[in-house]
Amino acid sequence: MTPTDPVIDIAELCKTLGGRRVLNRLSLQVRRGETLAIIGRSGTGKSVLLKHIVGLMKPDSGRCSVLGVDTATAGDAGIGALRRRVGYLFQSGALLAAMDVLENVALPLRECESGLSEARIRETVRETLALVNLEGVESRMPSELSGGMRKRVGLARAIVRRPELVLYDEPTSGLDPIGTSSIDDLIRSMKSVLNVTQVVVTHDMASARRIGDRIGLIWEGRIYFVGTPAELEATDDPTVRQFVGGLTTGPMTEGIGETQLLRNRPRGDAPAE
Amino acid sequence: MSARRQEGMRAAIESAGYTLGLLARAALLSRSSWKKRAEILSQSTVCGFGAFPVAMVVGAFTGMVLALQAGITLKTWGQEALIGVVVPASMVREMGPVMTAFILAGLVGSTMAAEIGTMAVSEEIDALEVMSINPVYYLVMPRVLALSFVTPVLTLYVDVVGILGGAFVGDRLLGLTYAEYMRNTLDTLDLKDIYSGLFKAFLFGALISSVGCAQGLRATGGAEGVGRATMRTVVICFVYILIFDYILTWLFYH
Ligand SMILES: Nc1ncnc2c1ncn2[C@@H]1O[C@H](COP(=O)(O)OP(=O)(O)OP(=O)(O)O)[C@@H](O)[C@H]1O
Ligand SMILES: [Mg+2]
Repeated sequence: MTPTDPVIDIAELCKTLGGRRVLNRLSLQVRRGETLAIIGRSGTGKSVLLKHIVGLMKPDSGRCSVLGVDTATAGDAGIGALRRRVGYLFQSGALLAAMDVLENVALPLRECESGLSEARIRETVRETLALVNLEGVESRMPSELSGGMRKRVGLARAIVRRPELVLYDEPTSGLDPIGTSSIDDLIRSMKSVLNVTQVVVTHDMASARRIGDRIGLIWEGRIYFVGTPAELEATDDPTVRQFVGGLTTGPMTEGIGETQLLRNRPRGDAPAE
Repeated sequence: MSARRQEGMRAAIESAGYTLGLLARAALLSRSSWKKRAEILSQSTVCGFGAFPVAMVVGAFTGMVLALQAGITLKTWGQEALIGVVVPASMVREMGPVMTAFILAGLVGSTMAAEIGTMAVSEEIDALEVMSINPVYYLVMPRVLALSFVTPVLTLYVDVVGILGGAFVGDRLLGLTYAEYMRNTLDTLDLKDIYSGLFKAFLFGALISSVGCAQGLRATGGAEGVGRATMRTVVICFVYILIFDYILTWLFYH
């Protein structure tokens, strides 16, 4: 692939889970060096989309090509090679509960980059933990950490190999405002210093505006809108406006809106049918 | 056959296929077991030492019951000395490996399913895969190797305890001296009895660990799913152990 090819190239991706069409002909392209923020309501398939990008889920139909590897057709070796170049932060953190923070963050270095000395590994882990504002927690077990700390350890593990592409599933949920800003700064500096390509799923509109070169809104199984933060502000599409403004009424809540709540109220003066 | 039973049958065959496939993959990966030696050793000690106390009780009472049952029957013919033949042969060929396997299925197989199942439902397995760490190499292979080698050792221990239990019953209830019993034992027990029993144990260990790992890896649905995986492991292990026991016995003695 040439440097100008998109790092992620998804076309017409469909995925049905539990009898429900979660992703419906979703198309998306992410350019090299770009940070794309993905926003959308809970349960609209943001995590499912990220899992397709690392090949944890396979598309029912459509194409999903990442760093030149087609995740639908690549064999184990191809997927393995791809994953060495990708960092992934799970929404839950997904730390290994049986080992301490040091071992968790060191795991990608130990198991996949043979020939690193123990001192080198420890140094890299310490540096990476410092990047996410965690110091002196190396010997703690995941169960002894707060939710936000676990998230940051997961983040450290995702970037410890200095990958070309990093996928973040809600890096700032569960963090206080200062923690959120510092993770946002980290994501921005990853981009300027290491020139990585990043996809960040978030619920936080302020974060999305701060870190995203572009922002994509997932709705009804596809990327409903994608554009720069300025374009997002400028659009007058009612669905986008509702999400960005956090309004309870609008196209996203049609049918489950206020009117229905009122109608179902046991007492009241709603007109009889 | 009803549609539901057919469905259940298909699921059972599919699950058996997955489990044996997993065992085969673990066996192939055991070429690089040297790199995982620390993990294999720690798994071995965990499953070995945990089972020792139970194994002693189970082994002793199995031998004692065998001696009692055989003794009562043989005594009517005045042949109670033959329990020195019957008990050791049954222990070494049959009861030792099978009882050990039952203990380990309940103790170790279920633990493996719970451990790996918890990892699966909390996305830890996915996390390994995303770091391009093969969960079969990282989790399954060390467990399968450990249990495959621990089971014969524990079986040998259960055999010995069982034989001694038989001797004890012979001495106390059947008027048989230890010396008589042991002479019969040493005269009749041949090497084939011992190694066939240990080979069975080796295979049971491999089966139990791969069932536990397979159920764990495929657990879904939170804590409840982990509980289901654990319970299924024990049931499936018992069935597999008896089926394979029959097949192996047939192969060895025909
Ligand atoms: N393994 C699975 N099996 C069945 N259904 C699934 C599975 N994973 C996700 N789903 C379903 O797919 C839909 C999208 O899930 P997903 O986790 O991607 O949502 P999300 O956009 O990440 O939401 P949130 O913001 O709450 O994390 C949900 O309705 C969920 O129930
Ligand atoms: Mg999610």
